[in-house]
This record gives sequence, structure tokens and C-alpha cells, in this order.
Amino acid sequence: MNAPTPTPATGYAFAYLDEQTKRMIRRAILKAVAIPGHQVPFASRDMPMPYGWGTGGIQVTAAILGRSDVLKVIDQGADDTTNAVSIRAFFQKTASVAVTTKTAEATVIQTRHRIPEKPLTAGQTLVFQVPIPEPLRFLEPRETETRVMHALADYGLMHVKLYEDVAKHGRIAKTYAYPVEVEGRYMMDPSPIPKFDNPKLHMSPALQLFGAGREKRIYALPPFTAVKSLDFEDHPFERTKFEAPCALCGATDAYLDEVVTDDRGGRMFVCSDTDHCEERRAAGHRGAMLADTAGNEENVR
Amino acid sequence: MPTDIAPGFVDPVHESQTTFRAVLDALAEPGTIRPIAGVATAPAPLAPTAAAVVATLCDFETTVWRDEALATPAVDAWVAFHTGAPRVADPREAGFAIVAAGETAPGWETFRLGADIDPSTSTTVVLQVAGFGEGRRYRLSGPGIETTREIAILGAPADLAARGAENRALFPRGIDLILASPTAVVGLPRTTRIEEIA
Repeated sequence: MNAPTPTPATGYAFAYLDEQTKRMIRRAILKAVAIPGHQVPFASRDMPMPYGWGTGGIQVTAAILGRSDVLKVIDQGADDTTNAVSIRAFFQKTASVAVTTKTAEATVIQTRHRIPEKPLTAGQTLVFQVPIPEPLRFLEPRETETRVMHALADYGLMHVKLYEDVAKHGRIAKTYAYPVEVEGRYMMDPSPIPKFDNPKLHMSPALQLFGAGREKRIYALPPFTAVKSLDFEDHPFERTKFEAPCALCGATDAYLDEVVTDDRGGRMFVCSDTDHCEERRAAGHRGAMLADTAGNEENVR
Repeated sequence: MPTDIAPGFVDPVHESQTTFRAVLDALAEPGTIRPIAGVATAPAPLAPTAAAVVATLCDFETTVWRDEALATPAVDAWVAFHTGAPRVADPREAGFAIVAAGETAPGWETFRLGADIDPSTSTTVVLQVAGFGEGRRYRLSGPGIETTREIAILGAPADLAARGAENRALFPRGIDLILASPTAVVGLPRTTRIEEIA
């Protein structure tokens, strides 16, 4: 990272939140871990940023962060976009915490809508920013009703919705925030990660925490928790596939962003996970648009 | 109320953070032994580790129940002063319960078990035990455990496995257990299957 390290701010509590708020959030996190997939209410605080910018994730991160942690923050896979840069700087200022862009070096990774490509390891914690924690919200707007539906494990409405997709489009049309079933019990919204990332939720060695600031909910997946993407026997869950490899690093197994390159229909597909892409390029992998600079013809596809 | 209340955390912000992370890891990976520093000055029979957990998680928003063995003026005063948590006489009203020893632990069903609509309101039981790595052996499975994990606990209730089965049958309701030895914590959340190894 080339950006200068922000100067630690004085006069703030460690990691911004006061101790009583941290205790309240910590209690919610512990109950969330004990009931995987269940949304635990918490007294979400005003943060120095608007709702929708990751206030849930930032509160969870603030409640768990310690002096020996190494923090990575990604926004749609990128370490260098506004949301990620701001949140990283926020914790550098308020907690003097070490930061990294490398997935393998991080102990805590706060993410907006992606799971890193590099497999996470035991001891790492992934904190998701969640806009709408309730998977049933757009099918049943009343919170009083959705809570009863979770209490009764009454998830027929979602299966009907997915069936209607199949009837209308010939396939389940959901491509992000694809609902999952946790340990055969709770239906959970994995946050708006692409469904490409859904299989990474299942039996992950890392602890996964979800924070929704505006909706005031925290939920969790302990390591090695069974997470199944909803589907039908004759319409099984399918991971998104890409037609072309990454234009920069040539990866064929990563989630790609489409980038429009001119006003004549030009476009390229590049890794959404910037750290993964940089690491591959550093290791000599070259995609089509970097091929001429590579001098390594065997990696050109 | 005694006026000579023993000190709590020396550095509350960071000691409570490290204690919390140990408890979080303990509950996220049931059966793993997570050492914590504890509060050395905690008044006996309140164990330094149990005291650290209570000081980390309890405040004026949580109700605390303690069993008879812990009902000393020194312990009550310490918990009240360092947490501000209201003490309750009925374990069914307890957000947190502190139990002095496995042999005398009341049945889990005497605590608040939560409701299907809001199972997170159940009691978190902090149970003091004599140690890990010796005593009765258990095989654990469930979320947080890749296949199975074995743990030996000295001073757990003799019927820990049967209690666990009853508690698990209530899911998503049920209590969550934090075992506190003199040096470490182990978590047994409601999701963990507990089998005693003969």
C-alpha cells in the first residue's frame, strides 16, 4: 500500500466505540455464534458514516478488534476503493491497528459483498457488511411475520419464489444474496455476495460474522458450519461461470468484473479480488491484455 | 456491603478485548482450550477466569445469577461494583449465571432457555471447573468442529453428556456454556453434541 498511514486520532476510545457498546455487541456476537444463522437484534449505534456504508460491519469489527490484529478491508473484492480505504483509515486512526491488503496476512477481514479468492484459514475472521439481513424480507415485509417464520422454520415462501423463477426463466434467477440454509435449520441471507462465493461459506475454517447496522441485526457462521445454497433436485445450485479468463492475470477460477473500456462496445473482464489478481501477476501469470509485457508465452490464453 | 472491594481489570479496554476474543474463539470452536489471564484479584471462590468473563460481558443491561457457593458478600460486591449488573434470585431471569462447581450445578432447565422466536435471550452459564486435559473425557461434534474433537474436563457435572443432549433437543432454544478452569475457558454452545468416552 502506498497511501500514507493516517495519524492516530487522540481523544477517542480504542476502536471508536465506548466499552458499554462493545459489551452489548460482543454479547450479540456470542449468541449469534451459538445459534448459527439466527439474526440476533442489537442496539446499533450511529457511526460517523451513513447507513449503507458498512455501519454494521464496522461495529462488529470495532467490537472484536485488538492491538495484535492485522486488518484487511475490501469493497467488492478491492482494497483500493472508497469504502475500503475509508474504513481501513478509520481503524488506523482510532485503533492504530496494523493493516494489510494481503488476504493471507490478515486476522480480521471486513468485506463488502465478496469472499476473498484465497481460501481462508483457521484463526481468521471475516466480517460481512449486510444491507438487508432478512432473506424473506421481499417476500414478507412484516418483521413480526418473518420472525415467526424463522421460529417455525416455515420457509415455503422462499421455495415458491425459487420455483416461480424456474417456471418463468427455466432456472433459479438469483445471482447475488442467494439464500442459504444453515445446519439444516435457519434460512440466512449471505449478504449481497455473488452466488459464485456461496460454496466458500460451507465448512469454512474461518469464523464468519455478519453485521447489519441500519437493520440492527448480527448473525454468524462458526468455522466448519454446514451451509447449503437452496435449490431443487432437478435444478441444482450452479456456480456462476465466466466465458473468458481474467484479462490481467489469466485466472479462470476467480469472480470477474466486467469493465467497459471505451464507447464502442469494448470491454474486459478482470478479477474482482485485487489482491488475488496482483499475487497471480507477481507470480508471472499474464492475461490477454498484459500478454505483450509478459515475456512468458505459456501463460497467454 | 464491604468497603474493601478488590480491584478488577488493570487495563479494562484491552484485557476485556483479549478475554472476549478467547471466549468468542471458545464458543466458535467448541472444545478448544483458550487460555486467558483472568483477574488475579478476584475474591474466592470466584475464579480469576470466571471473573474476567463476567467483567468482560456483564453490565447494567444484563442480569446476573450466582449459585449458593458464590453467594458471599465479597463476590456479590465485586460483581456489583465492577459490572453494575443487577443480581437476580431466580435463575430463569438470568442473562448470565455463575456456577461455582460442576458437582453442584443446577439443572440447565432451571435457567432461561429463550423462546423459539428469540432464542438469543437464553442464559449464558459460566461454570467453574477444576481443569482441562484431565478428568472425564468427551467427544464433541457440531458447528465449529470439522469432524469430532475430544476434551477432558475435571470437575464437570457427572451427567454433562445427558444435560447436553436435553439442551440440544431444545434447539434453537437452550443455554450456552462457558467452562472456566483456573487458567483457560472452553465453550460448549447449545449446538454441540457431547458424548462421554467410557
